[in-house]
Amino acid sequence: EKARMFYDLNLPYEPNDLASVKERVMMAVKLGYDGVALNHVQHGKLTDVPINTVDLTQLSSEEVNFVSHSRIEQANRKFKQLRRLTLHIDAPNQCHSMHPSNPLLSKYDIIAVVPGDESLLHQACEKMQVDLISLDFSKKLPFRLRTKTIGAAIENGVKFEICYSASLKDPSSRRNLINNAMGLVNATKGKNIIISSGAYTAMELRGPYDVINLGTLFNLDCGASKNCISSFANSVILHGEAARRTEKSIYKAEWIRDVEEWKMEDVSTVEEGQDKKRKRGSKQK
Amino acid sequence: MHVFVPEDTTEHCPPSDTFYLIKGPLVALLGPDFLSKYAKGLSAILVGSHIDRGIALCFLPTGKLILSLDKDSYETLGLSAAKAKYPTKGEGRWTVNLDLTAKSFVPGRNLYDRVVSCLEERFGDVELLVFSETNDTTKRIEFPDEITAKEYTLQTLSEVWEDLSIPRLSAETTIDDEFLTEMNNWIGALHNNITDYLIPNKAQDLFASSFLPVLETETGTGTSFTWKGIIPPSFVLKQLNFLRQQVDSGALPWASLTVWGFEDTPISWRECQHFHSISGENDYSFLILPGDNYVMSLTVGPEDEFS
Repeated sequence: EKARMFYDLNLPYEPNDLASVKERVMMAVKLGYDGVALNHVQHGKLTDVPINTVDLTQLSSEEVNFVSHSRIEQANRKFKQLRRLTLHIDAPNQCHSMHPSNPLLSKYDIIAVVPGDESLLHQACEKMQVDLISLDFSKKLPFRLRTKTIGAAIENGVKFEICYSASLKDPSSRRNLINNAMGLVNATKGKNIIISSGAYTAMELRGPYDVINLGTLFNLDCGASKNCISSFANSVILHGEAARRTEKSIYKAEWIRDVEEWKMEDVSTVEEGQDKKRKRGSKQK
Repeated sequence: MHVFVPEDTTEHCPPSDTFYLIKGPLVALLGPDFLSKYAKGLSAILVGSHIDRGIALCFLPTGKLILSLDKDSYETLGLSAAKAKYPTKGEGRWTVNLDLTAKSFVPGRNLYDRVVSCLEERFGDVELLVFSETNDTTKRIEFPDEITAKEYTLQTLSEVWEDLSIPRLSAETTIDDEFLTEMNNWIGALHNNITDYLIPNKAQDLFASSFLPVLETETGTGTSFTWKGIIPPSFVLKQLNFLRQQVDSGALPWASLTVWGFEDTPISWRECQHFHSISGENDYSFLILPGDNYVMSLTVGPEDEFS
């Protein structure tokens, strides 16, 4: 079920403008997304700035009417708000802040990098431990996207991102987006790509099915396009979790929901079995 | 449901039907007392869940419960199900089809006990839109204690349109595919309040696309009536018959009635399987013309057995 949820993994977060963040999150809830990532964009050096998620339980009646009562109730239970970091890297000496040992990175659920030139893209694809590589598709790219480099990233589990909102403004950005995105789709064979908004205002957000239609302009078929906002987005989230939220990258403990309590029966029978074994052992001694 | 008449009028068939929005465990609706009173004639659909991203379920008035499950839900729930036709690619879905009015569906029998225990343990609370219709009227339902129910009555929302460019329908108008497509576009624009398309004298917004009507139109006044909720078929028929009488008697030159179906329903016409991947339309539209003529157009999604 989680793999079919719709995510928009790029809502730029500005700590000084929380009202705009709230407006965009509300719009995402209204449009039918199941989760968003609030994206802290930084250039060069990492600084510690906390990301505050929007509290959907504290809304004015106007805001509730805008979205719809039932959608808000659902969102309170299920809507995810993740924390993402996007670091723009323009020089090789800035790469060391992306090293996994940096404690600032553990505060984020998703880490993305925007490489400034081809050698940095190469480094991002082959060596950096990030979840996403994002490029500005509204301008003409200064380098070509080679299948070999991109293949290396995919083998490392890194995904690529296409942001659509910058290209809503004028025809030349739109043309650049389509050309660049088609190049990426060609190099990746339509897999391991996510499409997200990068929206600075609520009006730049588009509904999930509209984004799916947009994906078809990039030579993706409907099924692949749908995966770009659902299953591949979900695997970016899981990649981030595995890197930063698991114990030794193997296991993670989670509370089970009430509905799943029937699964607990199995655990209690195993414990009884173990007790019996211990008792038998002590008798023999 | 939406009705449009090209006159400034308040005459319509007033609704008297009630429906409920209920929340609670699904298994509470399967108690033998509740089923014996309401199973036949009960129509319900799950809200807040999307068929392409989770579970869909509905109760049919013939006394059936249909559950459309994705792979994880099917494996967790543990009820026997048939593989669904849609989606054709990917993991696939499973459909559980239960006959609630069967004589063997009672406590103490294997199937009933299995269904109740699975739903009780492994199915969370659901939110359903429900109505019960027998002999062409909806009746009040007394739900079990575990269910919280909110009662609604269908409300008429009417809106008068002035300076509207209304399509001219006369005896000479040829009803062909092109005409019907344009007519459907026009009705859709009306329902979506796209005033730039419908009221040409209003200032054009450059941000909106310039999509102009192709039909022959004349400026006039019209009234549209809208009802929102889960609408019983008897009400649709009453409204349709009322409009037929109005058009036949000459009170109206023509009328249109459109019904939008739920996109996340597991079943569409004649119990055919329905699915929504990129789109899942499930609508029908009547264009009522003089001389007891009418045109009906059905909009059906691509993943629908009926199409």
